[in-house]
Amino acid sequence: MEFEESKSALLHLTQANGDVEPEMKDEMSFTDNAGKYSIDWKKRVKSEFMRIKHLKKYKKTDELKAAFAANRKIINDQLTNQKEFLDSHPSYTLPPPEILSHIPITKKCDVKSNLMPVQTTLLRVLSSLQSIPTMYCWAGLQQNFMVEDETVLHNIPYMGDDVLDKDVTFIEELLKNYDGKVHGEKHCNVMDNDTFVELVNSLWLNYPDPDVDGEESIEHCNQDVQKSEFPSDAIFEAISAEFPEKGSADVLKEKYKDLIEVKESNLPPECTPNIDGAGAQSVPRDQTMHSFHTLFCRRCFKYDCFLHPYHPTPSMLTRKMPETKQETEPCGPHCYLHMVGIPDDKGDNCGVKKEEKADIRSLTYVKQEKQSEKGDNWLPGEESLFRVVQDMHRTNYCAIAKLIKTKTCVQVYNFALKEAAHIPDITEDKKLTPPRKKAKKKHKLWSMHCRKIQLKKDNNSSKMVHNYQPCDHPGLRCDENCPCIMSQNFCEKFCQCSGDCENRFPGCRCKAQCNTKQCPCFLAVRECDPDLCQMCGADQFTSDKISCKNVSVQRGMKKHLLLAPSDIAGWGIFLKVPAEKNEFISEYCGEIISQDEADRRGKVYDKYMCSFLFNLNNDFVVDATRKGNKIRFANHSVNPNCYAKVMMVNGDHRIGIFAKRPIQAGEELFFDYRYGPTEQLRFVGIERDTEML
Amino acid sequence: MKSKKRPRENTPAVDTQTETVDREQFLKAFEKPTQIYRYLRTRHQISPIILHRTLSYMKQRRSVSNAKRKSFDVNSILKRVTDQEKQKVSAKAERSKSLNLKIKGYFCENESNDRVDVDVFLIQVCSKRRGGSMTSVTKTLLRTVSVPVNPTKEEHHDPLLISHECFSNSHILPIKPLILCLCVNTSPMNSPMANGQCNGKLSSSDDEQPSRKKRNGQYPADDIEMPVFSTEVVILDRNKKCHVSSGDYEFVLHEQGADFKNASWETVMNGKHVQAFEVFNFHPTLKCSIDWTVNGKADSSTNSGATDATHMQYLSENQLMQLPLNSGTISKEEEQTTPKKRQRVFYQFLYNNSTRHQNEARDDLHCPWCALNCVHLYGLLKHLRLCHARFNFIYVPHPKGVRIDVTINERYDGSYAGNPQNLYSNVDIGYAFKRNGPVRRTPVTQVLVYRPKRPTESFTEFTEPESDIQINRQFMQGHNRLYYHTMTSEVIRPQEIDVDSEEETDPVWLRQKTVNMIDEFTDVNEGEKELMKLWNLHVMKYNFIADCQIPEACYSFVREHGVQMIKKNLSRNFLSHMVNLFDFSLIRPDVVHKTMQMLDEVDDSMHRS
Repeated sequence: MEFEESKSALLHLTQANGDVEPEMKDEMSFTDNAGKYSIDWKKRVKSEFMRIKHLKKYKKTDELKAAFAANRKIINDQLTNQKEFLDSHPSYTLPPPEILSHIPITKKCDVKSNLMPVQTTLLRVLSSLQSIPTMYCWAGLQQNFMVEDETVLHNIPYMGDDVLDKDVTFIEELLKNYDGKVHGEKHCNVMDNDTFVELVNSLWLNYPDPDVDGEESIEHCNQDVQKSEFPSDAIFEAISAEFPEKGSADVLKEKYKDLIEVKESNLPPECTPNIDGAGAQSVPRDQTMHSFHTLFCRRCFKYDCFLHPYHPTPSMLTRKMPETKQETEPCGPHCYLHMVGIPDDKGDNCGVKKEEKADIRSLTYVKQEKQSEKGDNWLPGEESLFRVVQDMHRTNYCAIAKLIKTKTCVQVYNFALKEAAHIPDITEDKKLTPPRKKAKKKHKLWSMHCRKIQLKKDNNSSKMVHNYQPCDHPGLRCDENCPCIMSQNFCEKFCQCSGDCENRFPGCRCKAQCNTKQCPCFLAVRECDPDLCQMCGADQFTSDKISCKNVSVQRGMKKHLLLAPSDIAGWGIFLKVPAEKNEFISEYCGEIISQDEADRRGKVYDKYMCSFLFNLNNDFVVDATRKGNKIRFANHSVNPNCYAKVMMVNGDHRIGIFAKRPIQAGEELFFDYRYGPTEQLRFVGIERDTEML
Repeated sequence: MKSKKRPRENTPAVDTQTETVDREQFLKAFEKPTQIYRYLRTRHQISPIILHRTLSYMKQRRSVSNAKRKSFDVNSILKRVTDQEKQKVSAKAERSKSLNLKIKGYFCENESNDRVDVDVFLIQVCSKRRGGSMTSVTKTLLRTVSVPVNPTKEEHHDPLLISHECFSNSHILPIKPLILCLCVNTSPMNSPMANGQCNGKLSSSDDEQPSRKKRNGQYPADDIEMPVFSTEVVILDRNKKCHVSSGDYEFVLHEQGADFKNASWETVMNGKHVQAFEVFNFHPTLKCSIDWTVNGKADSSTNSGATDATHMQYLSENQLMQLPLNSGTISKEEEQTTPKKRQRVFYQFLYNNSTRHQNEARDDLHCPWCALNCVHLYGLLKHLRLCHARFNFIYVPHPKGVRIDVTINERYDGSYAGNPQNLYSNVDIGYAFKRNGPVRRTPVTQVLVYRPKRPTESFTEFTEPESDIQINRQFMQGHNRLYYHTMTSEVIRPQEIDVDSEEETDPVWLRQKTVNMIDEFTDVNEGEKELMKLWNLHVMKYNFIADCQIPEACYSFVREHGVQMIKKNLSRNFLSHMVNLFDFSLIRPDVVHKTMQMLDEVDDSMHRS
């Protein structure tokens, strides 16, 4: 900063010199001109840069003001809402019973004024009130939220004035973790790409070309005549002189070219035009579906979800294809079946139908031409839509037409013929899918099978619990090379492998509550998967019909918790209604961060003596410091009333907090921080239960 | 009732400077808490917050036992009522009882005459039902009886019969207290010392010796007036409760017009130690026997124990000593409890680790500060510890009884130890009487429902000073604290207690976040963005967890956002989205058709309207 200031001071000096110079212009020799211009341009560069910078600053200030005002409005709205709520639910406030203060009321206080007589009243001391513990700001959420590693330290932690003085090395070490980068460092004089382009443009457009002769240029400048094709080198030279760290003039010029190119190429947006909009284009199916395919998270059912940074594109192999039965009845007067003129007695198989159609194509060709001439104009959007839908329905043109709406069956059919080249062969597609085995499985062997797997897991010397990542190795079976098997995870429904992969977890067939080790899901520390376990009712849509007790985390069947100052230290969390033993209390939610990030954050938290870090598995840690839910306020105890358990819930590891013993309403909740949930996960099965008892 | 406090100087001989300073400090230290507790006692009498009889350590104070509850039967109600009716009839008969007063003799050393006249008055104090300020006192002379002075042998006297008419309502106004006044017109004599001591205590009389007649008082003989000695006996008090039972009585007589104002608890006879019954030694007494008779016959059978208010109560066999009464009310417990063994309680006041003061209470388990009769020693100790936290109490067994060491509790900070819910003032007593209809109150768990196993009562708990753990231990589980909002740290009001701030799976910031994240994409067109935002918000709102829920999710999406989609012209994007779900093998094509059909219907209904 100081350096920058001194530099600008120097600049002021040169500018002052520049003001004097014009008067001496005539006397100056021609050879000096170049030098003068350079000074001139440098000056311009500086002033332009300052101007742009100021503009940006003002713009930012305005934005901040607007954001503040908007925030204020939200807060006010919330306050009025709250007030309305309170008013609509009457409650009465009684003055608290008088508590006899041990300080006697002996003091008086007087109000003296010239006009009024002295007024006296007794001085009453208010009873002391204990202040509530400190709470740092946090955001509430009900499901974990994955965040990326932070590359910059986002603030230098403050722990009181003396702590940092004593422990200077701590901050130094902390900064070392982030390569000395701290968020929000002032780079007002540092030029980024946008500013650079803007600067060059404004210099180029607002000032005369330095290439043109001096006198003329000034006139041109005023008249604003045509500009050269490209900013002159002088501009870049001046900028380079002003910002030596940015490189030479040539480098800058190249950079400018690149940036401009990118910008211009950006002008027609990279995305496909809106299929509903006027500018819709006829594009291949992949392009239309590209955004949907890439952003959709198959595990969260959301686009661009918070939890899974990697979304595999659909395999298209396991799609629930429609029944191959073809419509036998024409869907209406314009149905292509009329046109084809073939009785549908034998047309049950679409493959057969297709052949027939191909045979008669020549016959009906004339007819088709006629139809299309009738004003069968396909808009680009319709064409794209056809390709999207056609992949689903293949040759069921009636269905396609129904979905497209604007076109009749016949029109669709005709268009399909035109498009025939685009259609990938169905049979070919089918062959890629591994042949389905019989649906009937050996149910009784299932639990045996899981136990075997579980046993294998337990016996394994490496007590590691890895994060699950759906495997995607088309054409290969799940063997030693499959990431799921390597990380000792089951394959889930999200994996791209076939449904009868051996590594798939089969789910349970329990008819009870799935809260004993009889349930293979419970044994494997998994919650029942609604798509696998149907006997226990895990697949029920509403929660009230479920007999299964092993779905609490996924369905968020948490207890109502209340916050109050703890009986032990700081804040504590209390149960509103009683809980039975082993009943689900709440999920421990927070940000999911990598182990490395947790190490970095943990250093700060340890210093604060307050950590909300919770090991999730070998790859990730849950941090409830910034985002979390109420259970983050639960305190540690060596004799706790709750325990934590990391469970595999529909492909995600999640931390459930359960009651260790019957807990009464109004009790404070504790769990043992020492046993990380990962440790809990290792002691699956019998071991863990005996340990608990 | 105050307990007797008799100062006992431990080291009276040493009166150094430091001693007096220390003493002053001691008095100062104990003065304030005592004043506070005295004030609290008065306040409690006027507007009680708790009933002592409900406390577990005051079981003995409970007048009504709930033993009957176990055997309670609905059908018994009728029986009870009819019984009551019967009793009322018999009570009427009992009302006709009359008081038989036999005056045996007048005992006074200074009396020169052989006989004296005793006037028997009946004083009826009537007060109007409303506005108790108007009271009328009727004093009727019943009879004048001639009584022998210092009789040595039993004489036969005609009994004085006070008929039942006197007790019944001869006035229109209800008779409240009925007082028997006995006045002895003596010969001119020396007036006794005017410091007539009275101890309002109605003591039991099992150790009373009727033969205590010796006099040791010296009376100056220069008064030549005719003093009238009198005493008053309350027969019926305000509640129409009878206080006089059949038996022999010895009344202490006081000179009429004697000044009682000098009466104090501490000093009797110029600081000389005076036992409660020594008062008999200084004053003339009148011996008489009282009998309740039905129509003149002696009646001693009725001690039914019925609690009818109008029913007179009798205590048979007990020879009660009626002392002159200054304050008219005697509580029932005191009347009835006559412990067989005298228990002495010594209060030893300690200051600066040395005893400063010792009080003795004999047969008296009343709290010295609030005069509460604790009946049992355990109750007394418990009460002292719990209600008088400004002091420390330590129980020490004593050869003659019990010693309680009292010190100032230095750690008492006056902080509020009750339920913070009450502090925040949303619940309190009398809440049910809110005028504007029913209102919400915070649920507070009280001990009434849940009764933890109490430790057996033992005195060992009082032998050691209270520890913090003992004090702070939370005996009562439940919602006895103030709750706060998790985000704002604001107090949760009673209306809000049932609202779980975490009920929603999609907090506002998260909704905004997903919208922002989708908006940030440059390679997604505006139609797709709109649809994705709508869909994400929908999924977040309902927290769909399984593939099998997705079809239903699609239907509800159309139901809730169909209009919005039509308005925003997103139907083709929606179709692409549905095909996308199909591509991810989440739905079957027929779901796509069904949802599109639903969207069409939405579209149609919009066009129509």
